[in-house]
Amino acid sequence: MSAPSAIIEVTGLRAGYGDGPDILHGIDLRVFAGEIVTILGPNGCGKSTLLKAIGGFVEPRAGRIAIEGEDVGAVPVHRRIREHRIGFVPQTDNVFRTMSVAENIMLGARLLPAREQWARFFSLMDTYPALAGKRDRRASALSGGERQLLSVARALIAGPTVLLLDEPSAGLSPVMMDEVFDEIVRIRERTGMTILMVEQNAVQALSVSDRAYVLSLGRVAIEQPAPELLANPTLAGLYFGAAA
Amino acid sequence: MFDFILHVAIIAALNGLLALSLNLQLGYAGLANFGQIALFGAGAYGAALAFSWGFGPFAGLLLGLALVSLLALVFARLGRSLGADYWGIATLSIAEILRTVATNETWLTGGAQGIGGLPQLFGFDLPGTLALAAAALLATYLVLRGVTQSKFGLAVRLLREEPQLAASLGYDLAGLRRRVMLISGVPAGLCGFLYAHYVTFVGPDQLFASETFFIWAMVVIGGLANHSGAVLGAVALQILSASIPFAKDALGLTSEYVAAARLTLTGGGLLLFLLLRPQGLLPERIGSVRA
Amino acid sequence: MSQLVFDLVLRTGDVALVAVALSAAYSLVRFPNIATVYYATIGPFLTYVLARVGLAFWLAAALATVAVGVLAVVLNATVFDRLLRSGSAIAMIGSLAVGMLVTAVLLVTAGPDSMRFAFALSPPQDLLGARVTALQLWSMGLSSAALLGFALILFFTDIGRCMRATAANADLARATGIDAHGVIRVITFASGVLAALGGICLSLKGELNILMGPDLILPVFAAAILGGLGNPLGAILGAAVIALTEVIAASTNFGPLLGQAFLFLPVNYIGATSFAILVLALLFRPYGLFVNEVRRV
Repeated sequence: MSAPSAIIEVTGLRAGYGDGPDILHGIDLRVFAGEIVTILGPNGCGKSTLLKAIGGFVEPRAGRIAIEGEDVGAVPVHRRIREHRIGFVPQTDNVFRTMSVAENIMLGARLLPAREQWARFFSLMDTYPALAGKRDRRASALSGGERQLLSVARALIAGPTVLLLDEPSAGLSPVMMDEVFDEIVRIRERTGMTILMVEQNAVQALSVSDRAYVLSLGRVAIEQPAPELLANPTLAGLYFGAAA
Repeated sequence: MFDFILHVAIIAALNGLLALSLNLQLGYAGLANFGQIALFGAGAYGAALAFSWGFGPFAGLLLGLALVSLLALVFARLGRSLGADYWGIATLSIAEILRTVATNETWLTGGAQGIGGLPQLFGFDLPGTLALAAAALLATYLVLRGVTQSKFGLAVRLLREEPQLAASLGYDLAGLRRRVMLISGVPAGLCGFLYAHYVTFVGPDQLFASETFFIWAMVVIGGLANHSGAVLGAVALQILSASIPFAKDALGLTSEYVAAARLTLTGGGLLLFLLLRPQGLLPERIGSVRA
Repeated sequence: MSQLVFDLVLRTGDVALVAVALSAAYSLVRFPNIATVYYATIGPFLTYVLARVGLAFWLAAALATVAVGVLAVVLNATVFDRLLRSGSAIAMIGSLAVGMLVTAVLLVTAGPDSMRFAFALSPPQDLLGARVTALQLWSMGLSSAALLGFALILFFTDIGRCMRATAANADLARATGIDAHGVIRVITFASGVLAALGGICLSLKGELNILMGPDLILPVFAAAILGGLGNPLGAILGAAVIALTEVIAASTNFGPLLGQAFLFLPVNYIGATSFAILVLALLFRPYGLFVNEVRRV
């Protein structure tokens, strides 16, 4: 076997919204199979934009985005998600509010053979009893934490190769936050899945990650293994405004 | 023939008043009023009702303006809680309800027969009426230009472009909307009043929704948020519309073609300009505000 | 009494299909597409023309509805998509302009006079105490079948779930691997088909003329708004409310209330009741009778 291949490889990516200015000014990023990688950075650094560009919601203006070795720059979102088996969990608006919990989850499985859909559904229900008890409720009736869980379940049911999480702990209570990060670790233990997430909550995210990128003003400021970064004083500088 | 040209010019000037009024709402404030013709109707029926009760034209003008203001306030009130598309439907419905009332309340409005026999203002002949209509148009043009060049005009455009920003800057959106509707009601009501005394007859057939869309076409073709554009659109469409019957005679077509041609003029004109030249013949001038 | 119920169902059917079509299209293409009611005019006219050249009625109707569905998709791609970028009110006036052009074409080709399908008119028969004609029954059956079919598609098929998902949250639908543009084309096609069928059902038991479309605008909008624009099945209930009001308005003797022996609402006002309901709905429940969550601004 050669060196591990990158599941996601971003090189020299520049991107922005509409006619607006560039938000990303040449990003290089790689995520290898089985890794948990976190993208950190202050508000407005472009970390959510980067995740959206990888998902296909923001078109690259220059540079290359490759998933499993294929250049996906011109591939529309839905095909990227299907062909490269990406699970995408947005930060807000992450459930189909007018549909039931069960329908939300089953939408994630719609391209699987019918029998496998139900097998996976029931196994997910075993994993997430909190959702099982509310499977016929409308998603709009769930709490913020439950919606987050529902969105993860919807992304997981298809058995993705890589999971993209946009600020999974945003807006949650401290208890729910711990729960979310624990769950991220458990997902990897269960499935060996590759996980790329964007987070505000640096310390907790780093404690479950292998590697991390810190973005600043649309550029990669630091790329380090997570434990080293936790001890890196520059991180404190970026987050707490101390001199870097 | 000369009389016909004068007639077309009078109607063009009167339509210009309606176009200026809709332009203030739609072009400047972004208020898509699909019931513009009802504002006209309020002015026209004000004149007709005052006449049928034995009052003079001046009382008719006052009654018309009172009715118009009332209706403008109703429209503005509805706009408080509705999105642009819902408000469009609401104004369309109210205009249709009023037309139904005008058709059925024979004791009040003369029903489908309408109210006839109104006197010509000041006993004017065609040239006199044209002078009056042109004067009203010029006065409205100057007043509305002053309005949109004022600070109020700036606020109104902000209401159109960035309503949330306007609200956060402390503008009273409901109040702005109310004032826009009241101000634009005046020329529309005035138009109804002048029209009633010019054709000496007011009836529900003048209030069809298609008339509203004809005015929309004038504003969109002339240029949204440009007063000269609205007048230009009104004149151009009126001339084209008036020449349809001649084309019909020249080509020996049936009368269905006249109705179809007018629909095509309105619908096709709207669509062509919306798609290919949404800024209209005379585009909005950016920064034309004297603060 | 059974006559009243029958009138109610018949009137509901008149409005429901077109209202469902309007609401379904709105769920994904966010503007009230006035052209929908004109699709309901083109449908029966095309059916009429195809039947005149010798096709069986059902085949003519099927071809016509498919043609209108395709027309709806084409218009969306070429006209409404572009106009919608300038705002929903602009797209709305654009759809009205399309309607005017449709009327102009029909005026020149079909003429202003009313026409009827060439069915033998059978005398009304007694059914459970109501006077019913065979064509009325056909019309009712066809519209009920279309509504039921659409509801089944919406709730029990993959494409239906994709429609509801995309309507609820288009970005999330894409992130779930749903081809949102494809779904929009499908629902636009379906709305054209439903509107055309609605027009065919309407003209089957009466006449067809070029004013069918314009006459439908307000009752259809009233039904769709009562049901909540974007909630297609709500539009059926909205149509039922409109029909109920109209039937009650038409058959109630208001005389005793006002100390007279007989006082019925003038016939012309019966149509206006739906306008009045519409205005009341816009004032008090603009997002529908059945909304159970606050709409975010």
